[in-house]
Amino acid sequence: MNVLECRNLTKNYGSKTALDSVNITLESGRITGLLGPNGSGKTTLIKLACRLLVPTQGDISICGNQPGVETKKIVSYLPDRNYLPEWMNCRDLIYLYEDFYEDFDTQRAVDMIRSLNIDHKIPMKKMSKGTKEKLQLILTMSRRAKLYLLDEPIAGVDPAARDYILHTILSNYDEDASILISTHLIADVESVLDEAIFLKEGKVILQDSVDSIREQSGKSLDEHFREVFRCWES
Amino acid sequence: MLGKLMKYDLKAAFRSFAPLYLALLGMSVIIGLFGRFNAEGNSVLAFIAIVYGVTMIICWVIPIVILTLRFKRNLLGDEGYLSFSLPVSTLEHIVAKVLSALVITVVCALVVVLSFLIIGLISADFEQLRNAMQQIMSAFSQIFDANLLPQIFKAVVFSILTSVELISQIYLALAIGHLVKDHETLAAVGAFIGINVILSLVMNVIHLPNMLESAGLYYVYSIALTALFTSLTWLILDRNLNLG
Repeated sequence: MNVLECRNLTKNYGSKTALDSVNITLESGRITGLLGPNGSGKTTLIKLACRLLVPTQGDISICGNQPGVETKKIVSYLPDRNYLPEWMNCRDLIYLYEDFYEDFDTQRAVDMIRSLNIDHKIPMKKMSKGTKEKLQLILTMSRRAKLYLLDEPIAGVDPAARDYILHTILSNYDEDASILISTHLIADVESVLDEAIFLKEGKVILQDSVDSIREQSGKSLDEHFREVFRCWES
Repeated sequence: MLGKLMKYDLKAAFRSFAPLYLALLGMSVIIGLFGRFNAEGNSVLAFIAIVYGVTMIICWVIPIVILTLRFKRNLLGDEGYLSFSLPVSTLEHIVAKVLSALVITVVCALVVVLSFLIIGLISADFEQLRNAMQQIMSAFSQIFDANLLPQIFKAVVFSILTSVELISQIYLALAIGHLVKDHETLAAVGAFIGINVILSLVMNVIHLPNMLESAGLYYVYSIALTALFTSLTWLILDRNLNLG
């Protein structure tokens, strides 16, 4: 079953084209890397799937529905910034997620927060940057969603935190759910990916399984990515 | 979901208002006690009375400032990524903000009335208070040549409706400002002024009669404007949202 489907998806910001006739299909139960340099359209694609943007042309659907209230019930989204209210503490945030998301697993969130020794009374504004990012990921991965959209989940954190984040992602998603991870740090995520989508200047230049890419190119995904984008720049 | 959105809006807003309201009520008690023990002319009382007056003005202004900032941060700032990811329609978000503004305006009015009552009840005994109220009521009745209570009621309802109308106008101005990248605040201020100019032109054309005589007409006008501002805000945020 296709969890996410884009057909001729185009998004313009004024005269600038951020996404250009993108065709993508994500199947359930797969972890896909949305890979490309900064400004390639990764965040725009994810925002369109979350209906934080409206397409200029083309279609996008999640489990057969256009992005909207129904799809937001089954999509768990991690933006690439601190998006949680600064005055809230862990307890407030858990109540908020419980209130709005039927698929939120409170026990899972509480267990992960305990394992990190985060004081549940401290408001977000008093937490370190790393703790905030981990807490955001915990809340996102504590939902039993059909599709997880993770925008740059490992950018700007130290290697130890990256390991924690990847471990959290891998150990908390249901097998029939799909994950789309946007990143330009290929080496760090390569080991967890089933598929990869290369995005360059708003266009999809490659979508294939990671095994197939390795087999055909004779290189690791990271090496192949560097080679492809070096070719583009020369 | 509307109720849940309002719950979090009101919780966030009252966190900011609560200290101010408590300060106002606390000062009311102090002023009442000074009045009780005949301390008129006391310089401390004069100082507290001035602070009370300033706090009272702030109590009317601050809700508008806080509601404006809350809308900007919660829907158009980084928190917008959370708000617009919730399984809630854009219209529900905006209606929740307008209804929360209504609740906050009513609570603000009630706190001010409560503050007057506290001063009155502490500084005078019930008999004195009743006599004073009767004198005030008869004086006003003579001035307006009508029963005072219905007029006060009309004026209170009208001021609450116009406060909510003003706040929904600010929300629309913020939404218009959101369309102009890099100069959002400037564009929002320009939009607010522009809407006021248009409304003044409309008022010059339709010539509404005296508010106290035709209160119903004013209520309908105010509610219609609030609905129009809310609909336009929804249209902009639903079709043209572009969080930075």
